Amino acid sequence: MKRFFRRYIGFTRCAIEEKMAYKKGFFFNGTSQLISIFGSILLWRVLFLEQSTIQGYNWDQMILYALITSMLNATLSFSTEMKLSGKIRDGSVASDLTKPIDFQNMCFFEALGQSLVEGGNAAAIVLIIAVLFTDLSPYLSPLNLLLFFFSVLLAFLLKFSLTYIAGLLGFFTSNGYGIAYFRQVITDIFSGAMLPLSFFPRWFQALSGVLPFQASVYLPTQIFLGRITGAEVFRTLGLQVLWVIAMWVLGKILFGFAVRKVTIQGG
Amino acid sequence: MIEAIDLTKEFKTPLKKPGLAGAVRHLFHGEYKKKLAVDHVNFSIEPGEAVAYIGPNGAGKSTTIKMLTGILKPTSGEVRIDGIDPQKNRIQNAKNIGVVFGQRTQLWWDIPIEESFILLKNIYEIPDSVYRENLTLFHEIFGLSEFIGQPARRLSLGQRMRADLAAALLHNPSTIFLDEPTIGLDIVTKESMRELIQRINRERGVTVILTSHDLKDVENICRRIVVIDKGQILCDKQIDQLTQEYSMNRGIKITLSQGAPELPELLKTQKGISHVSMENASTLSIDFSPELHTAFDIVKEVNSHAQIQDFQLTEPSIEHMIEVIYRSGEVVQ
Repeated sequence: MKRFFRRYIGFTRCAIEEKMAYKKGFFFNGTSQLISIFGSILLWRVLFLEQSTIQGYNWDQMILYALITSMLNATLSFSTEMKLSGKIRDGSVASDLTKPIDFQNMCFFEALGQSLVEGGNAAAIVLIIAVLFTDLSPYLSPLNLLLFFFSVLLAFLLKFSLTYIAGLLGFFTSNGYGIAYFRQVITDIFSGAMLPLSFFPRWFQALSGVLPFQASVYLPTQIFLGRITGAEVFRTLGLQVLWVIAMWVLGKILFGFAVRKVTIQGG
Repeated sequence: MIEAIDLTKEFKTPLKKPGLAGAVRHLFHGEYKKKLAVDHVNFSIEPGEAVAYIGPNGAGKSTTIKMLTGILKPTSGEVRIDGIDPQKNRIQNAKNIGVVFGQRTQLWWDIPIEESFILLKNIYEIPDSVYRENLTLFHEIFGLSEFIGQPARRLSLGQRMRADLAAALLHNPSTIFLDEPTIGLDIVTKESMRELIQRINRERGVTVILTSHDLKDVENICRRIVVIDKGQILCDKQIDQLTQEYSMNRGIKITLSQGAPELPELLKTQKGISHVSMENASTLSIDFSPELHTAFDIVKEVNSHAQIQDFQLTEPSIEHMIEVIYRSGEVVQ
């Protein structure tokens, strides 16, 4: 295990350095996240003028919901899947395949590095706003934080696989941007990143319940806010684990197809 | 030992009719054209050999290299590297090989070369002593220390290729595959690349498999030459042997004052003249056997049909031999 990490962790380190090489990008990402958070806070403020709860969410819960989804959304972005589909299309995947490493693991550790920078940046912003605008105290029990931590970890693993799959599909269709944009829109709606899923009609909730996306955003927020409790928490974590495994395997299968196809194009 | 046994790769390229209708039709009724990129190729390479694998563009060189390195699955036939199948055991095989694709870099674009090297050190689990020893060698031959702190995007092509070759050798592979490693490089850089490849081949016994369009690379590094065209091997010989065989032939180039289109056909009928072609409207290229003719005979013969402006004897070079082999391949097809 230790040996495994030592072999792959370099990709994380390099990805972090690569991300840091573009300081301006760093600044713009942070600023755009800040602006979008303030936008949604202002929106909710208007809606909460007339009532003190909306669909069972009070002001604090609503804002925390928006903050957590914003943080989860900011990690593992567009660039990961564009990089992947590009790598396969231009054939540079060939160099990676001549090395004694598993391609998917390599991508994962790279994505981990990118996400530590993007996510760390986003988490800092979110935490400051949360302290300024909400009362966090009901959610800070060690058990709650621990469960939330695990759920976020699983959400990250799942989101990696979803991004990886989208990147591979982008390669198949020779339309990386189209697929990446499609994934973004689908994820925004079905993961609960736009609105809590309980706000939607029943049929929609049923549909999102059988899709993997909710496990990457919605479920961690529900655990943090204490809207899932008791044994249900462990069932939720179990569901996340299942999705993580299923999507990881699907990614592996798709990669097999993609490699076979790329070699036709490479001279 | 590297063996290719009846190695074959067939590619399917989609046959699409132009336009939207064609694209829709293809979606439901895909038609494909089959192309044999590598056609029943057989060879075996002993440890420590330096082999040039050459052929015109699109001959199947890169496809073969990809199958040998385990990236690509053969359509039929097989590859054995020390008895194992490199495609099924890709990761195990990858530990023992180094690969340089001259057309692309394997270094990280935005981080210093040294960091890329440390990454490779971790991936291949290279011991500290080996890593340091190799860096010293690369500094000595390549002057790597001048740019090791720079990210790949700031390097010149020559520096980058040196770094790429160093990266492929860092883990002491037993075999290196070099796919056009000197493409686009200046003479000085080419020389230092050749020097390093030569040294690791002669001193460390590393097997070298090289493709290149620069036959100087071949002459400097390799002792054996395999020529492939249209997926088939045309020639597989030691360079010494090849030189001997082809030095039987000599070449002469004659520039005429005026074009004489009928001349090639006329000369071809003569005994002891193996090849005649017009390089351009007024330059004749003739290969002849020195046992049957002297150069003077040839010049005299041509002079009786047309006015000669200039002539030049060509020494038997590898370049010339390869040209002859390519041409014989075309005749076979």
